[in-house]
Amino acid sequence: MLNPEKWIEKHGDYLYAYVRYKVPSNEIAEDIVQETFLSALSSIKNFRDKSSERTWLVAILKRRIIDYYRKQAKNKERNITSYRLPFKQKGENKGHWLENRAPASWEPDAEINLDHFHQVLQLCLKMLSPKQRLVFIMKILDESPNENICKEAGISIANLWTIMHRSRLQVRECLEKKAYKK
Amino acid sequence: MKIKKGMMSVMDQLFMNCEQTTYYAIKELDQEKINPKERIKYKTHLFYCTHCKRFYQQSKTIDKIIKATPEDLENMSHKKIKLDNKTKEKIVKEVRKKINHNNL
Repeated sequence: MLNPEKWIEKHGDYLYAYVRYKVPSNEIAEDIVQETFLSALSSIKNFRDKSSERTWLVAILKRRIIDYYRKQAKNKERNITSYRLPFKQKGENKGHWLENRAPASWEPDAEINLDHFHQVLQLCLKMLSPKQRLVFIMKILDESPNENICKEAGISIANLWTIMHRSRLQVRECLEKKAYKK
Repeated sequence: MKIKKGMMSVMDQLFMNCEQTTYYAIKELDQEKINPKERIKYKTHLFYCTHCKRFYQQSKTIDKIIKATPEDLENMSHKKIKLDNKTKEKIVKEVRKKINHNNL
């Protein structure tokens, strides 16, 4: 017989720490942890000790995180991206970084204030369209296969790489502006 | 390696420009196989272009933070992220409700 107190005591903090910085707020992270336990409960009979209990729970948690972004992508949220690529579009130096938008030097990893970095990262992710955000998260966080991402987002494979290219440029530039520039 | 501007355009014609390089660099970061010819071209560009090199390194840092497990986060920030007791109690209550409801 499962003891809920012990179960949550054993894995609750770990799952929460895993999800906390991957979604915009504490509340969303808490909801996802709860959904993970409830969803695990539904399939507990299928869980045979092939992997550890924690690995199994983390796999469910990851699916819940993707679900969160999938739901966002279904909302008809206004597309706020009017991002222009940071490269010269014509002339002799076509395809070179625009001078005022080229990557600046960042501080070493050790000096990153994680709380601040994550707050800014969430702000920057908000600048992507919901569909871009879903693709970005599925690709980076979950390393989902291309076919799955294309199916979820309703895009072609060529489109997938255009979206990833734009999103990575946009998120990097936004982080630099908001977290690193003094 | 530092290269002067004019020279860079010549090199880019031989290899790739920054826009193309960042495109292929992210493909490789995302574990996509790329054609060896294109791989050599973009890697060469990375060797002489400071801005693209930074883009590549910084993208790796962003990935590392997005993918971070609780163990990684603890190592990076030396602090433990925890659920508060009230939320734990709420989750326990919900789990118990479901156990009773489904006769688990």
